Amino acid sequence: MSTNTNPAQIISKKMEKRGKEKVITADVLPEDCIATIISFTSPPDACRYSVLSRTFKSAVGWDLVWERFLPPDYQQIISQSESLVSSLLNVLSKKDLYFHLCRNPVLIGNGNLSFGIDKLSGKKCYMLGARELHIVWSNTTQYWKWVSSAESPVLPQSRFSEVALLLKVCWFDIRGRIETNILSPNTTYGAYFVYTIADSFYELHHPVRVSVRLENENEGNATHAYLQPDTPEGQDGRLPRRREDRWLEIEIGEFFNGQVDSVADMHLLGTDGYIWKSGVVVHGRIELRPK
Amino acid sequence: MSSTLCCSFAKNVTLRSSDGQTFEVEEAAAQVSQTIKRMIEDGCTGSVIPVPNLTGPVLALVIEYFKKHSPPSDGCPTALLEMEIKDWDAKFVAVDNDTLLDLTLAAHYLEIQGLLDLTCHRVADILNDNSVEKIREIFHIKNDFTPEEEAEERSKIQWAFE
Repeated sequence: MSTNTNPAQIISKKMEKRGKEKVITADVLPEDCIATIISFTSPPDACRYSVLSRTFKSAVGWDLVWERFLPPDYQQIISQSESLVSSLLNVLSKKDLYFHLCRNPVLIGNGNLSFGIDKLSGKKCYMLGARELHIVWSNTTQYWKWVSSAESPVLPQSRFSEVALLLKVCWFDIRGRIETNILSPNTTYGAYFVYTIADSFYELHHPVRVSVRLENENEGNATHAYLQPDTPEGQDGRLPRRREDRWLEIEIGEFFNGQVDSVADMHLLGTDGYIWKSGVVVHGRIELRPK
Repeated sequence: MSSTLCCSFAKNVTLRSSDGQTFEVEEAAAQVSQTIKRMIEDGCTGSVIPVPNLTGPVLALVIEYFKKHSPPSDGCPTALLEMEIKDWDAKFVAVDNDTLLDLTLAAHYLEIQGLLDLTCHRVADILNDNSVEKIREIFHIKNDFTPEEEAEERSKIQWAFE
């Protein structure tokens, strides 16, 4: 038979002629078949299909569906969390685990890095806690103070045990680095500085310089950002946004994570004029999530 | 040459569909189906192998798939051959929706993982292109939710519709 002929089309024409004596409906497919079909779609689409019929709703709950939506190495990642947490996560159905990781990122490693997933795409999100960052002068008690986030009634709740409070500094310089091979490949990531402003602060209306650079590439694009939430619109630079968890965030920049391993270097620098500033509480920089 | 070797060369088996049609196919090709492979191993090759869940036209289609996907007699498939097969696969499932579901069921019953992935992926592509209402129409899916239940389901996953 030549490769150009399509046996399926020829025979399906014959089948049309036999009439509609037997109508197969998608509902009569075995449930694991429907689950396999759904696993080739996307998380929001899978949820949409749960309203098709009861059988579809049940099929959407199958582990094989969400196993494909979760990052391929999710098991290895959550095994780095506390053993109690990872054993609790392991008893969840894969669908419940998926949505749990969307809402409740888990602390991994030494507790200064959190891992979660993006609800729409299932791609990985990470946040580097303040202790995981390189904050210039943060070990000098007259400039920065480490605050236990659980004991502070005024701060929004933090997933990390400690946050850094800026007492005063003229060289405001915070840097975070992350190896890109732990991120989802072929994805554009945004890097966000997550912080809040203390009750008393000064000189925070000056812009800071923000940039993201991949180590194997040339200088990334630097731009200006304003940390103070009441900065008027129309400034030449990025403005902060209030998050659902009540912290503020400002976009540092974005980068495309291809398939080449590199290190993303994310940088915040406020040193112009050596002006003394005070009152920034660093929650976690940097949150990385797909754009 | 031993007689065992002689007989295993291009040995054929006969498959019979639910409506009594019979098809002869090389044993090696038919073993693309795990279900048939087990039947052959259990010694059903002497007589006709019944395939009661498939009608003649569907079985004929599946046999075309067997022939295309039977392991090459001369070693590993080349990259070129793999590309050609991929191309052929795409055309193979470019059929009307009823035939597509027939093939999906057949792949499931006969345990043909490659064909099952192929048809399921094709169905998924059709789902992705259509609204819930249109999908019910295309694949004759009966909505067995009450209006209240459906509204509740939708409200739970409102984010997915936005």
